[in-house]
Amino acid sequence: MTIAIETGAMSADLWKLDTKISHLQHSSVRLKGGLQLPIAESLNAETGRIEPLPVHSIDLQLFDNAAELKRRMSIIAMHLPISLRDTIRNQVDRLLSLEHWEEDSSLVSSLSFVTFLRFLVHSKAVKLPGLGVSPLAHVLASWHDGNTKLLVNFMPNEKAKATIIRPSDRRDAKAEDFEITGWQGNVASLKHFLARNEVLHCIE
Amino acid sequence: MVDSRDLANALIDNEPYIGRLLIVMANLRKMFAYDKPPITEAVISLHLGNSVKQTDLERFAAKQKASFPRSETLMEHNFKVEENKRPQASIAKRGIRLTSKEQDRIIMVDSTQFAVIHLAPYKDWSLLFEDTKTQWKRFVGVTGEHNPKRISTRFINRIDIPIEDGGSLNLADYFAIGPSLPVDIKALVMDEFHLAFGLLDRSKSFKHMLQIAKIPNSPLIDHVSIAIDIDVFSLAVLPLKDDELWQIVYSLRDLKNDLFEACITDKTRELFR
Repeated sequence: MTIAIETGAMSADLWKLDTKISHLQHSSVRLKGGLQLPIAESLNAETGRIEPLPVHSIDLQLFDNAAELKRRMSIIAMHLPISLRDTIRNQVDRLLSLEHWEEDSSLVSSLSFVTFLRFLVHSKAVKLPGLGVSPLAHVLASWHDGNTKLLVNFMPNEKAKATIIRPSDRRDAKAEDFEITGWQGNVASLKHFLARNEVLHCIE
Repeated sequence: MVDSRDLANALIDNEPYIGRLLIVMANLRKMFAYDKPPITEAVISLHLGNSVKQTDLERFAAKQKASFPRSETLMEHNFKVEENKRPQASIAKRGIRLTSKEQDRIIMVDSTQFAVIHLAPYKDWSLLFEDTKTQWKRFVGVTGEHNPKRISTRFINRIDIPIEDGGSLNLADYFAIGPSLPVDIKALVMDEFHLAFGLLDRSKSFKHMLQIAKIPNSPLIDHVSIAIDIDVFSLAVLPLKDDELWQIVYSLRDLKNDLFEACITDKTRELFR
């Protein structure tokens, strides 16, 4: 947007213009799952009136969300193995397809997705995770290796929560006993947590 | 580390055969594509001789719907404020941007240029070249525009260099070009830089715009990222025949490759393998 101001003087009408511009910040009702009920408005420059924007259908919102995630992935795509890249792309398409969309499904936060991608490159993960979405639109990734499960909730702004579930190694443990180890912190430290707990084999 | 090209040039005088052999080897190596090309954006543009009507652009977009399902209209917003007058606002349609389903290809057309853009992961020059030829032919078929006045190619590369937390980077290890600070400044360290050069080739047929800059936040953990942005465009009058025109477009590839390869060292090349 360019604003051409030809004089240095501020007109009283500028305040009205500013009010109208601030209206351009769309108002909308956010539904469960991140879908937006679009009651957005925009300034029609020809009439000077505030008018509703066209309604975006669910399939368009899903397409846009998938497109944004793929765009984010393209930024670091050269550092991901091709098989991993293709699998993630297919899983994104599946998670955000109208066909698989259910009432309690969520759109995916692109910032959470970026945290997930940064972990993949940093940890040099080669095993393919199963992907899901939390009610807060965070990426949930799960890796399995034998009896060990690794579940990670990737949040926006470099944060992550990880849970390791594996058979208990206590002497008196029964076959069905499991040990659960939790962690929360900056995603740059997640690989150290996995190494410390000797579960890197889940991702490598 | 001694760069193979420097070594070859140094040997040329005393050991001409070995020197030339090294140059041949360096050129042969260039011919093989990198496993992980650092290109984030590759563009071929044809700058239009005549402005194209928005309605024609929309007809072109409609015909591309199957391959490029996302179509956005490029809008230009203007607000004009004058003393003692009501503010005036105008919005005008100024082009289209078409995006492929996989978000890896974009066609952007405005009143001045037609551009085909391939995003990372970049595959191959020939794919970009053939794609541009195909899309341009379709564009000409719809709009009648067939007389570009200038052609250009722009490649944006991002070099992601691993660095330990709190560590420092010696740019000279990775780049044959870069900024330098006065030696007396010892209390300061370079945190950011942005250099831009306009380079003219000796025949004055092409101009290269070269930019190199540190990207403020690397997209990778424990890395420093440096962007090398090379824009090469024609200055000479373009031929009217299609074959000759595309031959010139093709020649832009070598020009941008040579400049890029001259800017980096073998240590950088290792990052792409």
